[in-house]
Amino acid sequence: MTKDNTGPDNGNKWGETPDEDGKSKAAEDHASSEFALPELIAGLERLDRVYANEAVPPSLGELQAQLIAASERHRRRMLREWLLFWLISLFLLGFSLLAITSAPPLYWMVQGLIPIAGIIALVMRLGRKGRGEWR
Amino acid sequence: MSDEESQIIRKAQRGDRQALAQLLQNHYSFMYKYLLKLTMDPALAEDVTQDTIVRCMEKIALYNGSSSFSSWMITIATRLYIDRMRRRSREEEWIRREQGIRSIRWRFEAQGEEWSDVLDALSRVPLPQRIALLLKHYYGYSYSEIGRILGIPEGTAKSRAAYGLRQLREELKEDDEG
Repeated sequence: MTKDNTGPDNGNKWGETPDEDGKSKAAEDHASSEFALPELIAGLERLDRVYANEAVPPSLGELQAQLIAASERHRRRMLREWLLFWLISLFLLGFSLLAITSAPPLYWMVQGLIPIAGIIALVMRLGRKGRGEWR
Repeated sequence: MSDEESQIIRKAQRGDRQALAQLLQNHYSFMYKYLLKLTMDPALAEDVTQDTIVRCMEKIALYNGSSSFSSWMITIATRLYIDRMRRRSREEEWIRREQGIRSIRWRFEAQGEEWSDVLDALSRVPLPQRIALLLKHYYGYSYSEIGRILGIPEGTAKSRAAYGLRQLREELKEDDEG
């Protein structure tokens, strides 16, 4: 079993179950009893060796630059979402006011249709979820 | 988790960029290697590692210490990868998988390393089972931990790992016969 099988933060929380040699007992037990597992573990360790150069982490400077870029992107996205939220809210509010003053039947029809559409969407979503876990 | 790491995490959560960069640097190699095994595609593994790093930067304040930091990163990386795969058609997935495994094979040959058919077989195991198989039998997580990582019940994690192993054996047998 690879030495870094539980990541660099060895400890005692879940996901950190190595013994003194940094090996997982569960994995080792299975490896000795199950056909294909020793081969799999050896193959994956070889894969780690072959790609050792690609696994070298970027420098701290690069990561910090990435951090700054990510926080800038995050700030811009928040601003965009905030603007979109207010734009849609104003549009809906304007439409509702216009409808209630100039065409009340239309207003009440929309008010009735929205919950029905919501219930249909919910039922469809629950049906999809019940059919499969994913894909 | 060591005291030193807990301290770095606390600093990172308070907004110390250097601490966060240090933390992510410490885990980069582990994350890349995990994603390489999961994707069996070096380019994709690098992409998803980058996405994971960015997501961790954004979500570091939400890390509550109930799992190890590496497990938290594995959870994020796995879910990002699953999301990507959901958006792909089966054909795209197949083409990408073939390209990935070919480039790994080429790399093995270039470095004079003996090729292992088990890697070929692993890449053909369906993704949900492959994830469970790797987390259980290579990384040594328990079924309940795998369930937490994937957001599925423990029993489902167990059946996925068992099915994944069975599938791997069948693929290997087919390779031997073919």
